[in-house]
Amino acid sequence: MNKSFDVIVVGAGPAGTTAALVLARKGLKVLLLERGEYPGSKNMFGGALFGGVLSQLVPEYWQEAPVERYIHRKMITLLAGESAVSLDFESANFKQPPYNGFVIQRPRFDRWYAQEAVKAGAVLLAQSTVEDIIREGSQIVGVRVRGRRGELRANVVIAADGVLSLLARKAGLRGDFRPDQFSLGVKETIQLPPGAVEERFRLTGDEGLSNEFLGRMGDGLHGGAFLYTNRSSLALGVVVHAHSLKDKKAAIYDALEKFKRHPVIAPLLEGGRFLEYSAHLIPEAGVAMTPKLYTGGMLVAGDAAGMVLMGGVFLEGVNFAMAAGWTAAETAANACEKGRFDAQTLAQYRERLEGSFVLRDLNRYKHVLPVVLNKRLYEVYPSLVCRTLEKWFAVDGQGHPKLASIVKGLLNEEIGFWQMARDGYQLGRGLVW
Amino acid sequence: MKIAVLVRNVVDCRIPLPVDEFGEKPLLEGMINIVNPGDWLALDYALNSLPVRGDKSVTALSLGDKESEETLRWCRAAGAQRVLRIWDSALAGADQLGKGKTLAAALARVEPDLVLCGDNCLDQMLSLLPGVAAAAAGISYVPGVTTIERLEKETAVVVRKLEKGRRERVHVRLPAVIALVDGGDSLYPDLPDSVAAFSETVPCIDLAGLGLSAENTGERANLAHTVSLRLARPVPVRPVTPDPNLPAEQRLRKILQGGVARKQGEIASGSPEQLADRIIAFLRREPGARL
Ligand SMILES: Cc1cc2nc3c(=O)[nH]c(=O)nc-3n(C[C@H](O)[C@H](O)[C@H](O)COP(=O)(O)OP(=O)(O)OC[C@H]3O[C@@H](n4cnc5c(N)ncnc54)[C@H](O)[C@@H]3O)c2cc1C
Repeated sequence: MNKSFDVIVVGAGPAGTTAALVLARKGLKVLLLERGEYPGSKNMFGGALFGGVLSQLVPEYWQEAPVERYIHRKMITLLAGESAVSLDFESANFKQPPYNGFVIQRPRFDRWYAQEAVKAGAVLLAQSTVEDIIREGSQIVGVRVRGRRGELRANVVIAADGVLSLLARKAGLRGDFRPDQFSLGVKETIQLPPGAVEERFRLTGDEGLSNEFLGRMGDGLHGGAFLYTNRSSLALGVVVHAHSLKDKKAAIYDALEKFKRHPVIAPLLEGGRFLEYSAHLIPEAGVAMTPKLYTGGMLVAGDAAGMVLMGGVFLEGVNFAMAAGWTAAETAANACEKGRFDAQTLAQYRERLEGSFVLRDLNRYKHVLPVVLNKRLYEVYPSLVCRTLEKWFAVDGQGHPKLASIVKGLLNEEIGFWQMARDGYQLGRGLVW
Repeated sequence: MKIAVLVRNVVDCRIPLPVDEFGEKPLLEGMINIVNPGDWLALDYALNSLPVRGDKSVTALSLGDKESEETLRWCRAAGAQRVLRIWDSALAGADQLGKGKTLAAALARVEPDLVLCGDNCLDQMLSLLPGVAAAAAGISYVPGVTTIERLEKETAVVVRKLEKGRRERVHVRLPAVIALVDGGDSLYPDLPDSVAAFSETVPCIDLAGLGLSAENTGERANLAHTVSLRLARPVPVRPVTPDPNLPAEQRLRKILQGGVARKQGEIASGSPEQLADRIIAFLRREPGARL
């Protein structure tokens, strides 16, 4: 017996669950397949959920969803050897509904979110790893699951199977991976003694903080780090460009250890107890790595399509995945209405995404990749800023030089004015204008 | 012949349990619930190995909250003709006697000729349940069964595993609850069957549906009650004698840091050689280690 559905969604992450939720609410027969023991059991990320899309689907989701803290404070920190400079932004607006973002833990959040799709009528089958697609001519008409006899058929398959998307590759929508298109993130969750999160980060009630760091992450490793406040623990980790790992043959856990031992970070972790460790790839090349987003009978959404906005000091993926999942669902529902599932009909997916913030933002920030890959961003500028301020603030009986002369001296020592001007232009083009 | 299989939904404790603050409480999220492996083998035995002459129908029963629904769906996907969940919010704090009585009432509804379950249960609290249900239903409970040799309408001959490799052959009047130590291990549901099972609604019967009341079987009827709960005593740490060369303030701090400390892990860092030294020093300090 082969069971058939209107739509099969592969992967119960933010993209897949959103697609399943929207389709089920439209009354379509939708199957959500997930390889983990339960949705979220295999998932990790830094920790910040920006809920603009989610609140349109589940109004006031924070009342029910397992969120840790709302983020009302965002810090960006430049780390040098022994010092750090931070920009600390706090907004009363971020403390009000609908809130700008929440710290969440994926195993809990994804499990809750998938149940919303089930409540709407989607069929969720966990412990099911899709290992192949079924084709008929140029159409994709279903999937096979590892170790299970039988096949599952649908008019449309939505591939929301994450960064390494097997389905997109099997469908011939993307080629092989290149290390310069990915970063590797590792994260630890550290339990702090009761009350320490509030005390060490000046938080009251449900207030929370996100802190992104830039600097040298261990010998020759380029990337950043992050720290988010959970209810009573901290999520912290480093994100390192995969190519720098390959070139240096360095280990990423050394980078994480170095980050944790930094004099600015170590006191924040004092008395902490290590709870868990996880690692995951992040697609970071934006539009430069977007695969073909559709073919007959298939749409690709979320990380599977490289839809992550990575700007060095910000990293957004969940909201992009949700928006893309929603758009894929609308496209699939429209195709079901017309009864046509060929590539030409599904091409409207790309058009719809171009009209939404997903492809608009990825295009807008398409010049950010060279900035993110510029090694001076990690090796030179953070320490340049820190050393400048250290010299300027130090009162050592040698007189107090003016800022310009310190900057000039250090610039000549480190890179020179023209190099900085070129990098400044690159940064401006990537992030500012 | 009507077969009932009792399946228990248990937390998979073969993998480390996630714990919260300082390892004191298991965290619910992150725990993975599974079908008790012993019961899964019993279901496999019921579906594929039972020496039944004539027609056979298998009903899987599970007493538990919503989490048990998934367990029953997998049973249905594997081939059970019927599934039944038994739950009522009054059962949440009920003792084994209350739950056993409830399960017995559910068995009376199903009217099985034979009841099977696994002899082993990952959750110790639930391991008593089939035996208590059998006692409440007034039928026998036969644990440690390796095979059912013969099965008639009202009798069975089973082989029980005893200690030191001995085996005994037992004649059992049916219905009875037979707890199997072995079973099949071939149960891997087909994809379409799994999808069908996950698309159905799982029937659930509550205390009223079974003709029982919370007064007789729920938490209020418990014969044993928890009076208070005391957490484990903190492990006392030997007071530190501070280095006399340290300044007074630091000595005071060292003394104040002594006293009661929670047992906790230690994060070591440094070069491989330093780490090796730290590990050896740590093991020497541990009372269990012999170095
Ligand atoms: C270290 C790190 C930090 C991050 N920090 C942030 C942040 O703070 N904020 C933010 O917005 N984003 C962040 N991101 C990015 C974000 O996690 C992703 O963009 C987002 O999770 C993408 O969602 P998705 O649904 O496309 O994919 P995923 O979340 O990866 O979900 C894919 C799902 O598919 C399942 N699956 C995979 N293969 C199969 C298969 N063959 N069969 C069945 N199921 C399958 C997986 O188990 C998984 O459940 C971070 C990422 C990393 C790695």
